[in-house]
Amino acid sequence: MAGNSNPGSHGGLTNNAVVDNGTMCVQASPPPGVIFGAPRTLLDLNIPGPILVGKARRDPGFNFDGSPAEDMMAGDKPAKSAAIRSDPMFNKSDDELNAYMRSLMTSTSIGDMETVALEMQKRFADATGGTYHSAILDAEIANNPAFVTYHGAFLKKLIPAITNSVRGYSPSSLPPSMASLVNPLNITPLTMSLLNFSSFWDKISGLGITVHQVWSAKAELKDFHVESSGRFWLCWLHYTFYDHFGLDWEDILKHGDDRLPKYHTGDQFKAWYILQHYRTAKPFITEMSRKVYISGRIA
Amino acid sequence: MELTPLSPYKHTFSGQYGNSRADYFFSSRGDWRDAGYRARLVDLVRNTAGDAPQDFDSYSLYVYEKTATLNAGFDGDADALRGVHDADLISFTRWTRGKMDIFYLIEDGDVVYDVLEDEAINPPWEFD
Repeated sequence: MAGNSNPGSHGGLTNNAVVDNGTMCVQASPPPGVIFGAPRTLLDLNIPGPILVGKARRDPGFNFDGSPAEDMMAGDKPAKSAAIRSDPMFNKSDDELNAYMRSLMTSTSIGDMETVALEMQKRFADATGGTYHSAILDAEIANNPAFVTYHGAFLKKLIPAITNSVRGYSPSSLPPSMASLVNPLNITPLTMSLLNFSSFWDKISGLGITVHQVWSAKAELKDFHVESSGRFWLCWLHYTFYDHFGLDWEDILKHGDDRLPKYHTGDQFKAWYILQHYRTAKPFITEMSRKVYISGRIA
Repeated sequence: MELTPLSPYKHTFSGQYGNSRADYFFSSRGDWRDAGYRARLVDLVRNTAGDAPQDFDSYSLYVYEKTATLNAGFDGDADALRGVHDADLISFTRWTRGKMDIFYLIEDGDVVYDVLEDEAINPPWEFD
């Protein structure tokens, strides 16, 4: 935290222009700058956040019913997959299986996304686990039409929720009454759908094989601001998407016989599955983020 | 329309939310676009669950379509259903600490309708 002021009535710093990063404190900020042509005053409201405003109904690593997700398990030799033990792929060495899997990555991705796909494959083969993040992957999602549609649909619900939460804001109402009058913290998190990349382009360019469909999602507001007239609000909307880089048996039922884009695509999926559930490779969580600047009129 | 218990009937486990149970049923599939069908299914699920959601941190109820495999003669466990018969799912409902917080209608393995939001899912996404 920067600055050297005393804590305000809500725990934040008052008269301090520096955003109180990482806290949920309400703070009154001093000038500078012009918002929508209106000069800001000491009465401006700034909430650093993050404020949770959206969430999928399941969390990373778990199914909707709260049981552990099968595609995040490793070395578990599931009974339901007994049939794969008699598949010719099952007798191949780890090196051979990894070569098949790398071929799957390169045949379903292009350009920078091929680099990402191979990086993910290596992390999987090395049993690194943990959480993977890539700026390339973030950028790929930000430019994808599915995300643009997804974002538009979410905004249709979020904008009214924010506007309603700050309606009644009056610049003459100073802390401590401010928090009760103007409080997007009171927004009940909206239900978020699961972003899906399944277009033909996604299948050949990399998002199909590296993500396909996100497992979970959340949306948060940061640097939420109501300008002094009380007529406008503005903030950053941060999306975080989570996915599992792993396979479950259902994936083999769906793709184990695939012959496109290559004759051995089905075998390549089997190689992935065998490495994860019968050898020593380890799935991991992929975390993707995107932030968008949003604003709205209160009245 | 009725819900008939499907093996494994009741699956109790310690999960993300704590003490959890999932119950399984099969039924005939109706058209989820039909509001009357949706209302009947919601009533059936609520009545079938009864007070069970109050007894667990998380309680889930799965309804599968009756098929040549999924019927009174099926004897598989929860693991034999998940990820194997997802395309036969009709609905999934979850209560967390006694409160219903998910009611999805599912077709071809995709979530197509959110009963609690009372809206079709567009585009649909895989239940998984």
